[in-house]
Amino acid sequence: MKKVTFKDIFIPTFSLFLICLIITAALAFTNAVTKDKISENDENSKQASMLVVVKDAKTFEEVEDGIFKALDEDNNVVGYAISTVSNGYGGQIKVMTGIKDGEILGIDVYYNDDETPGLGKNTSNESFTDGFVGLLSNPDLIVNKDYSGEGQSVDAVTSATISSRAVIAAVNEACEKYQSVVFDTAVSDTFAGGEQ
Amino acid sequence: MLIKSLVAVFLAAILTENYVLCKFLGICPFLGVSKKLNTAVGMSVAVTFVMVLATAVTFPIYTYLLLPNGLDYLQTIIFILIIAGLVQLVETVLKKYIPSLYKSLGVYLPLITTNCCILGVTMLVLQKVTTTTAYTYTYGHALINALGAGIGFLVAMVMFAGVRGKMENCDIPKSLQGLPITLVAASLVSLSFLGFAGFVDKLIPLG
Amino acid sequence: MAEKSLFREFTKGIVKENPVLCLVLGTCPTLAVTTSASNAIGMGIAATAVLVCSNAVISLLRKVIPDKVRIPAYITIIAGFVTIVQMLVKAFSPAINDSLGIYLPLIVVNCIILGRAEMYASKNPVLPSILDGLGMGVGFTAALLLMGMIREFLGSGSLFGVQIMPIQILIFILPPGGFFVFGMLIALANKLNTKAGKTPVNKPCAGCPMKDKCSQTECEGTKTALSDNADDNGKEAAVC
Repeated sequence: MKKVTFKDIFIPTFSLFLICLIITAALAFTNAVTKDKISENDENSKQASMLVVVKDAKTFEEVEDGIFKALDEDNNVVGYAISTVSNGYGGQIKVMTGIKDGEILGIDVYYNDDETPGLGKNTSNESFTDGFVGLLSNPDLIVNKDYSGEGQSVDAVTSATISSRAVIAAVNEACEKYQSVVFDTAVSDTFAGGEQ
Repeated sequence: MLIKSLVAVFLAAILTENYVLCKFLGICPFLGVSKKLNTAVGMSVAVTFVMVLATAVTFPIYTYLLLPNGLDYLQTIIFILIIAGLVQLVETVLKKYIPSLYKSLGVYLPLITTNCCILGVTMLVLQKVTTTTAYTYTYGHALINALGAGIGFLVAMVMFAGVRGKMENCDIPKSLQGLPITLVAASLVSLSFLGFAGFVDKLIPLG
Repeated sequence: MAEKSLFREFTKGIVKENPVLCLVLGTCPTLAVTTSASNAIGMGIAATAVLVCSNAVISLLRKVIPDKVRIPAYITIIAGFVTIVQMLVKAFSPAINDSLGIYLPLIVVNCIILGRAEMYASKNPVLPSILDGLGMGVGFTAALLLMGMIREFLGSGSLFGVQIMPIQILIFILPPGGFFVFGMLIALANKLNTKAGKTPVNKPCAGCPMKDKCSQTECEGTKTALSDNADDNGKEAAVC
């Protein structure tokens, strides 16, 4: 058996340490350069999605985490855009829901890239999302396959029931958020208005 | 609720989200080491073991060390080094203290480090933490998910070893012999797993 | 003369030693991201970038890195480049990042990259290593593109997102279709190879850096395996 010397242990350890150090430094540098751009991209895609669901809006103001108040040119509230996430067939599905006065203005599935192309991915098609327009913002939406007379039924994407269910779950969550957060502030706004 | 969600996570990892047949992770051992039943089982047990261990270590490191400090961009590099280190450690420990276990699993361990299945499971589980809405996804869920993923790997390997065993006596066209026919067989096995879609949701409805 | 051999370093990866169809490396991304042609190109370019950079750096450092820790060192370098590529893709082409998802960071464990580092870059000067990486990357991209086009055409009836066929055979973009198309492509490669008088590929991992370990596993699986010379022969097995 060969004798293990200090050098045998030190040199490999040190060189591995050095490589790790340099690589980490390079990563930190790249991260610093790209970080702003990445968050800007995220922001842009969200913004574009909010405009899809609340078409009359000009600017958006974050009320609470994931809930945005949509304002037009004269700063009138023209609706709310609420972003929610749920689990689909392959991974996460991100949905933006536009709600105004207890009615769904429209939804936009702005991330569903983990779903199967040709099946679950079709949940972002208008033929599916248009089915939500005009429904009441009660968290009782249900896919037509599971429909038993209660709640509001939505047509699923053909042979992609799981992805459709996931989108509906996300919209229901948005409706719940709307009722708990926005409805309260809307009521208090009215009271404030009444006092003036 | 907790138990229910744990069972759901476990079943989903085995059947509906099978990492080999539905997510294409760990294809090389699936094709390479599935010729005989005993090697298939040995490999899968080693994978399951390392998978659970790796999740047990990487999950807290990511949630409590990397994420709060804004270091999540180091995820890939840290995870792969942790997995490589862990495999080496397990091998050394087994060799020294449990030689009987080392004899049956030792051969497979060096093959596992850069198996994308392990890295994939440890990374995908962290995505679920942020997206699961029906219940909170805890450390326990992550471990169960890793265990399920390993068992799913075992199920796929054992089934496939069976299919390949049958194929040995068949008259296969010359160009298809070897890898091509193996892939066609894999295609049929994965087709059977498509049938599980939606199974867990229906069986164990959550929230 | 020198130029000619450099050129050969580049072209060998594209046809003769195509990493996907002849060496059967990197099967996971090949099957997973080829649901559309544009995905396949995105994956191919990302992997090529990592392959060229890691080959260059590893070749530069080949005399500095101690043999004992060479595999961990390679993995660190590769993981570093993968993360850099991932951040750049996120910043400048978020759509590609979204569609590749988890498979982008998983380039780390793509055995084409570790395989080339171990088998080529660690033994050759920088320029040939870069060309080798580029050639292998182009070969990888070409094979992915071929598969992506076949699967997208049959499965969604489109090419690069442009609808061509009215009918869609969905199964081709689902996992079973991936296995099937890959099997057929390898059968075709085998047939062409046999015609040209070469031995066809029969074993997966034939060009894998860990094929010795793998075949050892196959034969000695249940025996009291493993001799004690474990310190050599690359511990960090590249299975996929």
